This record gives sequence, C-alpha cells and structure tokens, in this order.
Amino acid sequence: MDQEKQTQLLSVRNLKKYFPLKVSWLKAFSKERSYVRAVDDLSFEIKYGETLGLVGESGSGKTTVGRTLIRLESPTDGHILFEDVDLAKISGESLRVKRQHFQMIFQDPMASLNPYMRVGNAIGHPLKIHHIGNKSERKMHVYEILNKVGLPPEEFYNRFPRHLSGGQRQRVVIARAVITSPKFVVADEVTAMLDVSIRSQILKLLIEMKNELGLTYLFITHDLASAKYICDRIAVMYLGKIVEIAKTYDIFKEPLHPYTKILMASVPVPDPKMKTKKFIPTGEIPSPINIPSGCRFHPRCPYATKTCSKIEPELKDVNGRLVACHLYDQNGKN
Amino acid sequence: MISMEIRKGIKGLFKDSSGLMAFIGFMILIFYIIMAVFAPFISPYNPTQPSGPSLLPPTISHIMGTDNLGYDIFSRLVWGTRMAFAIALIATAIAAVVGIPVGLLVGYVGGKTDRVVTMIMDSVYAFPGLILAIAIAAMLGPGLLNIAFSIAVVYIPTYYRVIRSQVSTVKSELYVDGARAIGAKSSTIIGSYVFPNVLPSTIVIFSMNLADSIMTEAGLSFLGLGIAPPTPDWGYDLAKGQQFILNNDWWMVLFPGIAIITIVLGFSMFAEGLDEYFNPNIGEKR
Repeated sequence: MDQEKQTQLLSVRNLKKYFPLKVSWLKAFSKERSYVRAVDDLSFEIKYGETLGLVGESGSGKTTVGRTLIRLESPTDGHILFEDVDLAKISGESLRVKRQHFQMIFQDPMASLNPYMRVGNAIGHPLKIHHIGNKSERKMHVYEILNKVGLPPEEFYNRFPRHLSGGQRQRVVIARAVITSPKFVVADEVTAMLDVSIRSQILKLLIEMKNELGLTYLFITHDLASAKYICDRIAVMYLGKIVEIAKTYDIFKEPLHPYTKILMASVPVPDPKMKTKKFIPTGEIPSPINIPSGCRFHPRCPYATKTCSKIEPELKDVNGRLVACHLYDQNGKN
Repeated sequence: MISMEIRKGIKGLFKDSSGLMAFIGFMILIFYIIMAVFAPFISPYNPTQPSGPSLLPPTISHIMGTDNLGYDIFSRLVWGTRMAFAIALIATAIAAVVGIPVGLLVGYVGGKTDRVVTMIMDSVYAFPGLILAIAIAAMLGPGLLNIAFSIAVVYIPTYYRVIRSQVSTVKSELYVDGARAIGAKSSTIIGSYVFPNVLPSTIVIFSMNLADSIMTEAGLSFLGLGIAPPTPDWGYDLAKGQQFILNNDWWMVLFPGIAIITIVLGFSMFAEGLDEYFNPNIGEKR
C-alpha cells in the first residue's frame, strides 16, 4: 500500500466543482440556487512519469478539471493530493509558492501570451516570480529552453508574440510551462487550435520535454488520435464524471462503456470500403444544470435498461479496468 | 463632454485620412507649444501693464488691439498660452494619477468594491462638469493649483470608467490566467499583464481630457473663478471683452475666442488621430 502511494504524484478524491448560476437577488430568496455541475465527484490517480489522457465531448467538464487541478478554480469539494499536500486546502501565499511545481498549457496559444511581453521575458517570468537564479542565469536558462523547444534564441528572444505563428506561440507557451521543471503539467487541448501539419510536431515536443525533464502530464483532448499517440492511460469523461479509465491499448482495443464505444466509433477510419455499424449518439450532451437521473448517459445510451435511469453506476473494476456502467454489474461480481 | 462632440464632427470631416487629422492637430499643438515656451520673445509688450491707449483697434503696433485698460491683447494671448497649458497639464495629470490606479485596482478586484466605487464615480460623472468645477473652485478660491484641482475632480471619473471597463475585459483574458498559473502576485499581474494592455486607451483619454480641461478652465475664468487678474488668461480676457461687445470692440472677444477654439480643436484632432493609431479597429465598432 505504501509502495503504491509513493508512485502516485497526484491523487484526486471526490473532486467537485459547481458553478452557481446567476439569479437575481429577489429570486435567490425564494428559490434554491441551481448550479452548473461541471465536475461532479471525480476520483483518479496519476503516477509519476505517466501521461493520463482525459477525453470527452465538449461540455463534459474536461477543461474545468484541468483548471481546478492547478487551482485556477477552487474546488467546491474534494481533495487534490499532490505528493503530500492537499491543493484543495491551501490558498494564498503557500499556494502561490507551490505553483512552480504544476503548470498548465492552455488551448489557445494566441490568447495565452501577454501581447506586450517579449518572448524571452515571458518565458523567464516564472523564474523571476519564484526567485530562481539571478538575472544572467535566468537568461541562460531561457536560451537553453528556447533551444529545446526548437526556437533559435537569438532570433526569438526579443520578439513580441504577435510576430509568431500559432505553432511558434504554442512552443513558447510550452517553454514557459516547463521552465521551472514542474512535476505536473496539464496540457489542455494543446493541439486543438493548430494546423494538422503542426500538431504532430507539438506532440513530439511534449513527449521530448517529458522524457528530458521527467514530467507527468494530464493530457486533455477531444482528439482521440492524439490521445492514442501520447497517453499511457485514458480517462473518458461524460457530463462531469469519469465513465471509464483504462490503459490506452485496452481502451482502443476493446472499449467497455457504451459511451466510450460511441466515441471510438466516431473516429473516422481511412478506408472507404469499410462499413461498420456505427451508433452515432442521438442528441446533444445534456445540460450540466439538469443532470439526468441515474446513469448520466442513459438518455443517449443504446443499451439503457430500467436500472440505468434509477441508480447511478459507480466506477467498478471490470477485468482490471475501471468502468461505471450497469451492464458490467455481473462481471464485476464474478 | 464637449470634446466628444467635436471629435465626432471632425471624424466625419476627415473620414479615412486620420493620419492627416492627427498631423493637423499636432501642428496646431506645436504652434501653441512654441508660443508658450518662447512667450517672452514673441510678445511685444508686458501683458500685465498698459502699453498704449485703451480700446485701440488692431493696428501695426498692436496687431490685436488693446483692451479697456490699454493692455496689449496679442501679448496677453501669447502669455495666456502658458496658463492654458499649465492648468490643463496639471489638472489632467492629477486626474490620471488618481483615476488610473483606482480604476486598475477596482477593476481587478471587482465584486462589491467595484459596485460601490463605480456608483460614487458615476454620480460624479453624471454631475454637469462645469457646475461641479465651479462649486469646488468657489470653495477653494482662486489660484493655479486650486483651479487645476477643481478641474481634475471632474475628469477623474473619465479615467476611472475607461480603465475599469478595460481591466474587467483584460482580466478574463487567458494570459492573465496564465500569469496566475505561473504564480504571479496580484501586484505583478496588474503591473506587468493588465496595465500595459490598458495603457493605449489612457493615452487617448489623456489628450482628450487636455482639450476638455482647457475648455473648463476658460469657462471658470470667464465666470471669474479662475486665476486672479491681471495674470493673462484667455477665459478672463474673453469675459472682459464680452462687456464691450456692444461697443463694437470686437477684437477683445475674437482673438481669445479663436485661441481657445483652435487649441481645443488641435487637442481633439490629435486625440482622435492617436485613437485611430492605437485602436485601429475602433472605427468599426462605433
């Protein structure tokens, strides 16, 4: 048990993030407040050096998970054990100092850099904030990291972000995220806004950085192909809950949860002759304000039974994988 | 605000050639700045001493004529430029020094503080500017700093409003989240991430407010609440000239009036040009 705990960098327990809906103050007296349940009771672990993929449709709460893990949002409830510290419980100065150990790469490289800060200063800023090294050491470090992310420092150090392309900006953002040698990096749809031709380069860069600096990633994406490429394990999220966690190989070979099956089936196959029976999910993802009773997926699930609309399934061990679905109740017991 | 109306008018006049507009504005300002700096060399007579017969129409020796006390109007006009610039600059600087930091802080903090401060600022803003300035100037009495201060109070809300609304948009930008994620302190975020991004709009308000405060200053002097005479001051000269207008002594009103109009126009054109330069897509929004 102790051994197992040591291999875990991050352990999330019953994480909840509800956003209160804005109501006029008159109504607030009479009515109970309603919430957007963006993240609803999430538990998972990330081991040292692992890349965990978090996949799901838009609106499933993936980004909120990422933002909450690095405490850009404070969780409504639950624990985020980062080594020995519960990130959900600390705040203020102790949290600020701790921030050098976990970073986030945002989805939109166009918006995540201060337009009035030169590339070199932007990358070196985390070092300055956390008082790492003196001025010349910091500059050396920035040069080094610029080289690593494939931007010649002489050329890029003094440029403004507006002079860079999307891919170059994303490289700058990655450089800034890893310059303090963090232990944990949340990569939020890093490739979503980039051209397809640049995606694989950025993914390769992420893998290189990981190998070189010993990083651990939470890789948030809706692009299953890139998840398959980079992740060790994949967690599938639906409406604020994880419905399945398994090794990447297993989940692509045999998805268990009906939602995962549908997600996998939605990946286009480059073979015009292949005609598989695809179940395209009907309708949109329900609103996280009025979450369906029982299993969240039952209104769209092709296998839904009566139990599904009544009892919410828990994440259970099915053949060494975690699945939250009533279909596998028997299997779980065996 | 008066300069808003002027800006709308001149904008229509110049349409696409905002560069030309800024250039003309700039030239007018340069003209007045040279006049202010070299006043002792340009003005032919001492502006606070009679230099000829009273109420003399424009002649060669007194190119703008003399007033009822025999002061040379051209000399007073030249020296008055100094006063106009001094008060406008001091007043705008006070307003900026108070309005910008308050707007930054309140906009960043948000919440209840924001609501309370905005309410106070809005109530000042809603008050007719000149009347508020009159009230404060009457309380403080004449004097350069007092006038500057009473004008400043009127323009603090302009800064506050623009900065606050800019900050509340910039605050939700991803790069501000990014700054929080790397562990920047709030002071660092405001200083290095928010402030540079709202700065361009302050420069524009700055030059716009200069125009407004020259108008307000002239208004205060016109009403006798400005600088104590006989210090040369356009508003005061205008008020004095107005008493003799029925006498057909048009030169006493005309020249200070033209001076006020052109300098305000100069500032407004310059501000509009700057605005186009710093926010090239603002024209589409309007």
